[in-house]
Amino acid sequence: MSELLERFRTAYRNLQLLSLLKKEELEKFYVPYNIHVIDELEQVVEDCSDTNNKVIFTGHRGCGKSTLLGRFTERMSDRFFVVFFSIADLIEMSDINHINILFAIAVQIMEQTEQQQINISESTKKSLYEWLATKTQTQIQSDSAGISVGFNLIEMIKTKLQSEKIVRRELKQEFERKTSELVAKIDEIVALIQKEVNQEIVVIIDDLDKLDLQVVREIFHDNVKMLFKPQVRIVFSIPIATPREINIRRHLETETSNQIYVMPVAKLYPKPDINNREEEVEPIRETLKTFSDILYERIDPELIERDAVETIMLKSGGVLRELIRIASVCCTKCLLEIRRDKSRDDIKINAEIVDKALTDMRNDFATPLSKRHYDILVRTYRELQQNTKDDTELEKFLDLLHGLYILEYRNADQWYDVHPIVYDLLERKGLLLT
Amino acid sequence: MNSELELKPENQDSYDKLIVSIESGQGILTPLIAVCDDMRLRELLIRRYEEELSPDLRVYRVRLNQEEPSLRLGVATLIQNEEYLQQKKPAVIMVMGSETLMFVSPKREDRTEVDKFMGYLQWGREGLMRFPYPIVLWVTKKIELEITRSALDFWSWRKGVAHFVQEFLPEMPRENNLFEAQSVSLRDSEEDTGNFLPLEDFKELIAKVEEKNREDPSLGTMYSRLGRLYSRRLRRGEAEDDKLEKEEAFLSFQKAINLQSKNKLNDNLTQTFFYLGLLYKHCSQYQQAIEYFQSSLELAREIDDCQGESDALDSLGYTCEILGEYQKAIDYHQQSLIMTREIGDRFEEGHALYNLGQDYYSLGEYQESINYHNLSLLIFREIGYRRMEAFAYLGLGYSLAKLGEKWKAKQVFEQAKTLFQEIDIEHKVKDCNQALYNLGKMAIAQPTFIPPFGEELPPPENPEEAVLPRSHRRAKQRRKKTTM
Repeated sequence: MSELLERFRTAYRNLQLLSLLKKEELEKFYVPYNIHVIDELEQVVEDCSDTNNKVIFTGHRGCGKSTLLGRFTERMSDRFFVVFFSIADLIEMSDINHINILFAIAVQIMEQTEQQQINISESTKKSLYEWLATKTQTQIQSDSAGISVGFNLIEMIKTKLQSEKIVRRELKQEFERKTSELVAKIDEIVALIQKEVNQEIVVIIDDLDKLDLQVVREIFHDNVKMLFKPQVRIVFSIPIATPREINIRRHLETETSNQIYVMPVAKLYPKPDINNREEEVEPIRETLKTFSDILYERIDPELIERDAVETIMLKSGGVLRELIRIASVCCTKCLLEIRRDKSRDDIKINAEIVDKALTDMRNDFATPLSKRHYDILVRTYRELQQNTKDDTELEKFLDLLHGLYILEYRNADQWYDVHPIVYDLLERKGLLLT
Repeated sequence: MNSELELKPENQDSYDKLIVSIESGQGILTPLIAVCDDMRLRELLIRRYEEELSPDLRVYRVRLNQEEPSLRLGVATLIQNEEYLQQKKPAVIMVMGSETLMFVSPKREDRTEVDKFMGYLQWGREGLMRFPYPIVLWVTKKIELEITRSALDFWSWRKGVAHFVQEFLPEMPRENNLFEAQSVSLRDSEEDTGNFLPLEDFKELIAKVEEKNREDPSLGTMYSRLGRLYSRRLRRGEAEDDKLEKEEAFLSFQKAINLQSKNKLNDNLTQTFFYLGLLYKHCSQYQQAIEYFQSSLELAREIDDCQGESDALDSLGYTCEILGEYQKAIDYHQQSLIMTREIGDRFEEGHALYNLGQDYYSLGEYQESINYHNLSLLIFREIGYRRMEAFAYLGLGYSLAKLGEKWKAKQVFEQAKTLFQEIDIEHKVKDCNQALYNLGKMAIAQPTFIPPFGEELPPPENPEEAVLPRSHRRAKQRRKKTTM
């Protein structure tokens, strides 16, 4: 196999689109990014009071939230008993509601206790496990009491929760009318563990941001009071579109006393001048530096021309996963060229390759769009803000935000703009002519 | 399978794109999406991949469980059974079966199979990360669109998408011929449900009007209606003398056309052309039928008569279908679909979709047929029209059976049968039983399948008849007639 081919294959593999959660991946690819967000989060979580200890964390899909939460967990672990879990790992999506989120919190705290081999009295432990097992209709082996049963039992309970609809349904039925009992039980567990480890607990729930907006509304609007009841610090990740809905936002602001944190998209440019959108603006060098560091961690600098790196960065819109995706598509294009002519050794990611990659991505973006969507996109581009005429438009606007067609940027100021590849799409369709 | 086929450049491009992604994605989870609507092309492509990639790399195929269509579950089950995969050796996993997921749910639950599939996709990242393989999810365009709308998270970490467009593939040997005969029903609108006076009374009335004033403008309409009355009698077998009444029918329409043209009554003329077309069609004079339907269409367009336009398009579609000109039929039915959507007529929209399902079935494009039947089913369900709901199920079942989806076809046929029983259409219940019986025969070749009920049914009376498509059957009748 040619050396060039092998190098491109390595780059292709390194340009994974998944969050960096495994230790070896972090060591290989992690580039400090948005450190101030971790700092801020840390500050907030530390300053939590007994009555005000829920934090909402949100941000665009693929902007590095999960990786950041992983880092955050690591950083907090010496001072707090951190329970970080993905809700997707525990409960099937169609059945997510506030009850099983609460129940999952209890299960995950117990699992963490087991993993860290926290010493709690046998009788207490037995009673807690019995409670978890009964509620999930899990059989406890009668002959094996005690500590050895713990870990396996948790695994069994998790499997039950994940795979058995009926268990989830009955859980909901049982606790719907007496949620306070469930909350009381969680409080009991929390108090018990905190006493034992002499540290406060922080629960971090990831992947709630993958839920449909409708489900999120039910949870974070209609049932948020109950969800926020347990006496423990909790960080929730929710979809970016949710805090844009005015009534949910107000609700969340009140319930969290304003503790809503947005992981910003990296700004590649300063806020554009609304009256002169076509003006050439100098990109922000600092962002470009971070982004090129990220790329060069994953792709051999000899395989990519400088100009190509620049274009890829600018077309990412400041979204990390988009940056990686464009580079990955470029890699595929180079691999294609190698396949067609194995004797060539001059293949590199250059302007032409990037151009081809962007064409593919533009087409992908165009797939689900209707005329109404285009109207909203054009308006957003022109006005740099959310301007929706009615509920249908609002819904579509939120979908576009959810789908990265529209990006939200902020510093002191906050504005919306279309994704750079979407901009190209609009321009090619002649929709930006005045 | 013709593996010599030279792919179109864009397909070759997609083919290559996928293969380099598969080769490079070894050792990590690499989710790839392949979009292809033509199941024959898909099969050809997968075989090519198998040929090219072996022996260095194994190609595995797995089908989604249709009731719990979870990508993770499908892949996990495969790996559990394959030692080779457990050892993490070079491989690619091709996932099929999303194309037969239903967009409606037979039990009228809220979540359809497609909804479930999207939910699993959206929610599956954690579970999938354990599988360090390239996974190629084969989908249709429709499913791809659904993913971009409903499984945004999965869409956002896809590693690549390859689109395959239609190729002209040589006709393949049919896998089974058990479901050729079973295309469905005539449209209701072709049955003239107008309310008419008894023939003799009506003729007397016309005579009186004519006697008074030969130029009376209402005469045109009257003759047109007389023509329709004769046509209906012929069609229903009520005519006392077929030959004579047929002549009378043509004569009446002709008089109507003369009068209406003279008085420039274009809206009435549109209808007359249409019904005259139907009469020609009934008499198996298809070319003339097409001419009159086209005249009706043109006129309807001129005067913005949407209903007339839609009717003409529909009938043009049917006639082309009879003539075996399926592509033309599809064109007409597509236009008709657009019309019905413009008028906002759900009932007609359902019919247009159903017709397209039938056309694609005739063309041998069963996947497309399934898509359209599914869509029509949604509408008929929504407007509560059980008769056509039953027909749509039946059509869906035939297409599924053609694709070898026995289990699902069985469910759908049973659904159709229940509905036909409820609305008391006995001969269609029989069709359903026959279909279930045929499914059972398919099962003999594959002993893993438990034969469905209906085994005791006799085979079709005339087996030769049963394997001919409807259009061919008609053509045969036509030949019989002309040789008489």
